[in-house]
Amino acid sequence: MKKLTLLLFLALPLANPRDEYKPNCDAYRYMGQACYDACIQSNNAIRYRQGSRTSQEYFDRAIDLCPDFAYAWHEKAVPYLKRGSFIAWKEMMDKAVDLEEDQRLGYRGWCRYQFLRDYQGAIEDIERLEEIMQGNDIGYAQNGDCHLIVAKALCYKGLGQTTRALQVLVNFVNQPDFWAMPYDLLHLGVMYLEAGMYEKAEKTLLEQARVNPNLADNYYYLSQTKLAQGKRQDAEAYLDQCQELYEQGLYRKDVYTTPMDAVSKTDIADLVIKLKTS
Amino acid sequence: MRSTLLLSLLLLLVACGKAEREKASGTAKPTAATKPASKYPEHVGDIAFDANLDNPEFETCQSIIPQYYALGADYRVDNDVLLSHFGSLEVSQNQPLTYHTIRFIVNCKGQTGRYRAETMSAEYQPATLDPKVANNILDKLKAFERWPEGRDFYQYLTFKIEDGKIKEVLP
Repeated sequence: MKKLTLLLFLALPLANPRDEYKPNCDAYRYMGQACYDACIQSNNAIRYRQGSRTSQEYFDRAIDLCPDFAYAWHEKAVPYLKRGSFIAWKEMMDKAVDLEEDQRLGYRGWCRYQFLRDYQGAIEDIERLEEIMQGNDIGYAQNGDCHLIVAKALCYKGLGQTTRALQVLVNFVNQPDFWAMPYDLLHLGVMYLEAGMYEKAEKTLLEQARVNPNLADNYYYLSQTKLAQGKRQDAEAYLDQCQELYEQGLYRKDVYTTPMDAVSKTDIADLVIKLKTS
Repeated sequence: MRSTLLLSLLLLLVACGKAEREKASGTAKPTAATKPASKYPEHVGDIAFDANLDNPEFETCQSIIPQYYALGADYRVDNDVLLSHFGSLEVSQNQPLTYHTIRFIVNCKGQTGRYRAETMSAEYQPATLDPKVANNILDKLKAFERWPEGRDFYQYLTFKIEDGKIKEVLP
């Protein structure tokens, strides 16, 4: 047993944390030897830092071997997206989508929303994916924040189509197998609040607080809701909760972009003033 | 002692076997001697100093500069702070939906430099922006003084321009 533990301990540094993202190359054997080899090259690429010269060169070798290997196009494009070179990203990502539409559309649509607030483009991708999937599940956002249907609802909101946004989101949460992701009910509550449906907003935001009790953003919107209802004391109490959680760093944040409905220090400071002067 | 020796030998054999396999399949990493010049910088998005474009007085504190997202959410400036800084800039109503991106470096003193701009249409194609507007955006960026200090990092800002104004400052 001791020897086994020692062996495992010594072998641990050999494991690559990115191995879990590797495609199973055996699954590409049906595309021929060149595409299988391209997959091996792609696995070599992700062993290096994303966007590094060596990594990009391995992806190029993969694409040279098998230009139809969508995974290589997709992964080669990612660092361009994260670093603000969107023309280059889109060109490569489009290639991946052309090759494997059902596998790549959801990701492209989500990124168009997350990185560029390209609401129309994201909706087109997500709705096309829904069409292809013919009623089957279209999956989740790349960062796991929400289902792609929720992202679609947020895009309609971004386009100013609030009624449609609310309709899409309400239909989604009313499904019998709905399982709330960390911010779904926050988004729905905010939509109700913005639509002036304060009772529904409060009910939904309180439900969100049950799902995720330590989210400053949620108490900010509860405070806004109570203020809109003319209940100043309740609004102050929720704002206190919001500020307390915010000070502890318990607010919505993302390393890449600012999520929709996330609350900032400026928002909170403005609400403090609004409450004082109301 | 003997088992440790055997284990070391085993690991060595595994490593050699892997190198042989990579050599045979052509997947081995090219060595510096055999490697042709690459079309890539060391990392995608690196901005090398260009004497024709860049202020020589702008200095970085580190030899390796990470991307903003590698430093965590605390190294991000709130979008509403950025929008209130840039949002008042005037843009022609005739300008169609445009994404204007400036990539740059923030140094450890919170100063910015090595700006590179790219303008893109709604169709993700190269586009043009009135040079006066582009210059105003750049001047405003140079005047922004609320970047986090302590580390060098690469940052980009994308200005989503629509309906005659800057609607969003991303990411």
